[in-house]
This record gives sequence, structure tokens and C-alpha cells, in this order.
Amino acid sequence: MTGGRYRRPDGSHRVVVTGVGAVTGFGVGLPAFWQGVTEARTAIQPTRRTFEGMEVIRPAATVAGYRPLDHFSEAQLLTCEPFVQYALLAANEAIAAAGLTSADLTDAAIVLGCGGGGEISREETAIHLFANRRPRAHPTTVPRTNHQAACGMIAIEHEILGPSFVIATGCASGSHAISQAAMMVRHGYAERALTGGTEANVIYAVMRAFDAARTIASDTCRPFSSGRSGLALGEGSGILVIETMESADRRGAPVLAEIAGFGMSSDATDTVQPTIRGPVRAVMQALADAGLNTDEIGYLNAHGTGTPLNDRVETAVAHAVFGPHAARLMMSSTKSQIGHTFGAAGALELIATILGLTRGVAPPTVNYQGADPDCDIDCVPNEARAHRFGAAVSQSFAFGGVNAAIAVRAV
Amino acid sequence: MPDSTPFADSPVWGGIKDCIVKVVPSLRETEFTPDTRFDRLGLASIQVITITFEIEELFGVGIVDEGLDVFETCGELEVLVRRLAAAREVTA
Repeated sequence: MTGGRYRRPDGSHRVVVTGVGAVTGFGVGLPAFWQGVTEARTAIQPTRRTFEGMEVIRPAATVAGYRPLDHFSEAQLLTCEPFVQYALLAANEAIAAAGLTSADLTDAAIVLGCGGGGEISREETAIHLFANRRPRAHPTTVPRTNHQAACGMIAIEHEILGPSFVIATGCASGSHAISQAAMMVRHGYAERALTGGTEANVIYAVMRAFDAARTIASDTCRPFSSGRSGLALGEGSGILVIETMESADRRGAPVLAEIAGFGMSSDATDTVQPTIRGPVRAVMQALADAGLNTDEIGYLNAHGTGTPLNDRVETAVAHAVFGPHAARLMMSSTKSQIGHTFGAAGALELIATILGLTRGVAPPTVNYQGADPDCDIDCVPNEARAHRFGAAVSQSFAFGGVNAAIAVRAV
Repeated sequence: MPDSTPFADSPVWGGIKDCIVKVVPSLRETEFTPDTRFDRLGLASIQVITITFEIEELFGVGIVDEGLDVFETCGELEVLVRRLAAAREVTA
């Protein structure tokens, strides 16, 4: 059987999103995230980290008002870093929104993106062993630092027995994870999957590391704007429940959008300098995979880091892919609101895209000061825009020259 | 520390209690006696391992390294730590 409501032209399953959950700089939960997005606020603020008299203050969006003991037991917290906690909170929210119970998830897959994993514990262990010259590492160092702790915690909580793993492609992790999960659901490896990304690494060492790479903004993240100077760190998690259209219909689930297509590519040029050809290839693949024409895309959630180079290159990518339609495309950066959440970025940005699709709102780019001739696109500056669109793209690029793009469509 | 010192007043036990509470803050108000068994505290194994680590750090002793993590009660642990700490001072 090919085509129709349940199958793609190639006979594989159509894959839809039936629930989403989010933890962001705006707080725990999707309502806080969407409210922050549509009110065009930013969660980024000067954030201070210290170590023995040394201090670094950089723009970052950490999870507002977060108190771990409100959500987890002491025993859980002993082995779960915030990146794991956020993933479970977002997963719980997504599962509830999808109208699923744990019993419905026994055979589900879990595929998450995560760039750094347990960076907090790595930093503490380094201090303990090298600065304090202690002979023993903390006993929870290994379970806390493992990237896959995020998958494991979700599986334990809901007794999910299906395949679970983490994809670590830095800033593109979330988009790669969703693409991989969608591929598995499409081809019957799982009927349902929990996918997305998580990250929590706003720590002294990470601030210094991104500083050294000359990527952190001097004030705040203002993508596509004149006067932009870089990214702001962020933390959080975005999780989506995806399933076959057939499964969603069978159980009368609310369908938010279809994961219509995805594309993945490598720049094969340079570790840190982005290219145009790599992202173009990923976006073109996503559109072809979705069977969408460029002029059907009404909104694009950009990688939009706010570094001078990324935004210039990403604008060129938009022109290369969309041609004259680039002038009509709304193309904004959610990173201006929640910072760069690295492994979670692709997931949270796709969630913003999907909510925009379902609610007829284009998310904004905030902190915008004025036009940059190198970024001649409509970045939806400073205010969310009421505007219906039927299809959209979210794209992520990472150091190493790896790229992923996802196309979604209203159902 | 003479053995006649009441358990609750033992500085060694005070340090051990601090380590327990550091790992499991909800045990702060728990009444401990020498006969309190660790397996009755409802702790996960990783919590017990971490408490042991904190005790090793605080007293500068090696409980695990010496294969001595065989205590069952708070009293046994206090005696063990006191013995290891004394041995360390003699060695030093």
C-alpha cells in the first residue's frame, strides 16, 4: 500500500507528532516556553560562574526557578545531572500531552540528542582529582556523566523496553535524533518513539571553552541583526512523541504535525567554518523527502546562533535553497530567546516551529537592533507574527561540519 | 576517644552523620543508635557507596581500598572509622 493517509509514496509509514514537552530558560513546561516565545521575551541574562576567586560572567539562559527536589527524589538526584532531569520532565509532559500511558510505550524507541552529557560532574571531578589532588573520584561520576543516562531514566520511569540511544553531534544532535527516530518509525522498527534532545552545561569550564572559540556574545544573542557578536549559552530539553499516522488515528490521538521529511549532510570542508553547500544539501534533501516545493515553506526556524559568520552563511543558504521565495520566507532564531541549548536546540526549535504551525504564529527573533545587509531575510524581528503557514523547516548545523534539517507539514 | 564515650557524642560519629546527611539530606532528623542498620534506612546501593566515599574523604581513610566495607550497623561503622583513623595517625 502506497500513498494515502497512512503511507508515504514509497510505502513507508507517515510519521506524526502527537505530544511535545519542554524545559527552557522560561521555566519547566511547554506553556512557559510558548508564552515566552510569543511574548517575544528573552530568557538570556548575564550569568555568573566562579571557581576559587576566578569569575566569568556571560550571557546565558538557565532554567528559571528550577528546584530539583520539586520533581525528583534524593536517590534519583544522586545519579541524575540536570540534563537527565530536564529530559525526563519534558518526556513526561510530552507523553501526557499525547494521551499515552506507560503501558502504551513498552515497545517504543527513545532517541535523544545530547552534546556534552554530564559536564557538571566532569568539571567537579577534574577539580577534585587535579586541583584538590584527591586520590578517589566521586562514586557517581560514571553514571552521572553518561550521555545515555537521559534515555535510561526515561526508560526506567515508563518501563520502556525498546531501543534507546543518544546521538551526539553537538549543536545538531537534537535534529539528528529526531531524524533518526522518524526513520525508525517510518520503517517499522518502532511504532512510537520519544525523541528530541537535552543539555545542561552552563558551567565555568564550558563558558571558558566557548569564549576561547570566540563564539560567545559580548552582550546577548541577536541573530541576523546589526551589531550581533555571538551566541548565548542555554540549557533545557525538548521531547516529542512521534508515531505512525496509523497509530495516532487508531487511538484518536491529537496530531500536531507530520514529520514530513528530513535531510542530513556533511560540509566536508572545515571543522569550524561553515559552508553553504552542506546545509543546502540537508535542506534540499528534507524538502525532497517531504515532497514539498520550496514555495510551500512558510516559515523556517534557523540555526541562527547570532555569530557574525553563521548568520551570514545561513542567509546565503536560504537564498541558495529558496531562490526568490527567500524574500517571502519568515526565518527566525529561537536561540535569541532561550540561548543555544546545544543538544536540545534542534528539538526545542522544532517544537517552536510545530506550535507556530498549529497556532498560526511565526516565532520571533528578539534582541534585533537593525538590518545587516548580509542578512537580507525576514527574521520576524522582535515580535511574534500572527501568520498561518502549512509547512516549515527547522535546521541545525554543528562544528565538524555536520548538518540536519527537518520539514514538517500540517495534517 | 575512650570507648566509654556515648555514641551520640562521639566526634567520629558526628562526622559520619554529617556525611550521611550530605548524601541524603532527608535523614537529618533521623535518630541513629549504634544498632541502626544501614539496610533498614531504605537507601539505594549508590547512596551507601557515596556515603562511604564521603566518610573516606572526611577522615582521610580508605574503607573500600582495604576491603572493609562490610559494616552493617552505625556502631560498627563508627568503630571501623575510629580504628582506621587511629591507625593513620600512628602511621603518620
